[in-house]
Amino acid sequence: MPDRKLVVADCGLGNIHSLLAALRRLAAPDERVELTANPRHIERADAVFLPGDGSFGACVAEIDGRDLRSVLVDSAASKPFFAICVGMQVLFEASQEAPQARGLGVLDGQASRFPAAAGIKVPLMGWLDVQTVADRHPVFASVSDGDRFYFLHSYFLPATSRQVALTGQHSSPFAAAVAAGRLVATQFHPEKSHAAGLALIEKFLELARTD
Amino acid sequence: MGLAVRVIPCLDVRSGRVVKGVNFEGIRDAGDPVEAAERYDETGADELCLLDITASHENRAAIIETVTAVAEQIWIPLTVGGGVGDEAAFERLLRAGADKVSINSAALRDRQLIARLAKRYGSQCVVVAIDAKAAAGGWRAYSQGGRHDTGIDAIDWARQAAELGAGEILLTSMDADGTCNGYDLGMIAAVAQIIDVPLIASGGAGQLDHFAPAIEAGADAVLAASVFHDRVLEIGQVKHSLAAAGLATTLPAAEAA
Repeated sequence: MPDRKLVVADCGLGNIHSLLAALRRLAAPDERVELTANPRHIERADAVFLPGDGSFGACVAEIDGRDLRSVLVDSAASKPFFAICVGMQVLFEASQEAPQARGLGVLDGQASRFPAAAGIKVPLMGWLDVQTVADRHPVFASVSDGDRFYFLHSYFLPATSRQVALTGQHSSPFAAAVAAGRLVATQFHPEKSHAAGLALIEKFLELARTD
Repeated sequence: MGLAVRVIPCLDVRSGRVVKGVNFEGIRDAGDPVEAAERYDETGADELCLLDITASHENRAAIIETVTAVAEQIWIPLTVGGGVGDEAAFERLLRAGADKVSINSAALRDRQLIARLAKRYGSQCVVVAIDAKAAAGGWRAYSQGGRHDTGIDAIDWARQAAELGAGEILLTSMDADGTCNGYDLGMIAAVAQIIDVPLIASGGAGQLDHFAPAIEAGADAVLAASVFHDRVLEIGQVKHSLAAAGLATTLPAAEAA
């Protein structure tokens, strides 16, 4: 049987080492981890990760510059797909961070900047507690109210977005994670959230194997 | 609940080795950065800071290897700084495994560098490090690893850096650094009052009761090098001292109570 491929879409921005290291650690013996900007490799992947670093505008520009838009939209709709941080935001339609940039539009809504509020810093930077929702996606089944994950962002999707899986509270309530079927996205960095974060990636990979 | 105060151990690295100094001088070897990073990750660090103090004429490529080796062994955010001169150096460190990169002298030379980096990579990964020393009427920013007095007011510089797009200020007191006599609370308060981005207090931590006052003065995170490196204090002890002062930490709820 051929190896299964866990593919990280390379958008050329930011740090992908921790994610790659986490995947290599958590991959099954028959799973190969690949970082690629080649649309055909992404198309053939068994599971796709979109790390999405940088600003919203730069991330979208890199996606289009590398001709990855259609393969990412297709993959998000058709196979296990895990988007992180700005990667989650670009799944939506747009962001205040770059009003002229068009998101992938896989999910409805747009990112806004955290409003200014006394005593609350933007970017949101650090370990914030999350709240679970009633109808929880299996990837987040083990998360409890108050568990902390590492966030690093200035723009957010509303907590009222459809398919919200976890919420957080900063100067506004926001979507800490969204999930719909095989599509999972976290505003926080699971690969930087110690054991709690790695457990989510592990659970996602486990579910992807049964896909 | 709410955002937790971050406890950040810092490793000063030179040519691939951890080194230590007092008041920015008197450097000695203190071990392997990957081993130290792993220990911090395991003992509950909320983030790790790696500062490259390799002098400009030495082998600067070493830091790239160190960053990658460290990034692959830890599951917490990594900030890397020291000698970052331009966009290319900034990007190399991000690609090597840094989540945030701190700039210092280069931003003092070319302030728009902050804006350009924020536009491309997002403010959240642009840290401006300020090394400051008390002077008549306030504090002055130093460049070149503390060797050059820029004559620039450190508080005003912090304000400008935040306005230009810095996502975080790493504020080191050169007076307090290495003394273990506590953070420079006056300087922390002066900067905290004027910026609305996160602030890391650095320089001077020596005992448990030094940490909470830095947060109470307005810092969002506390950074220390020697007390953690020499095992004078464990990270968990620091978190307990912060929790005892009524601050939110990443300690599990049961332990913090």
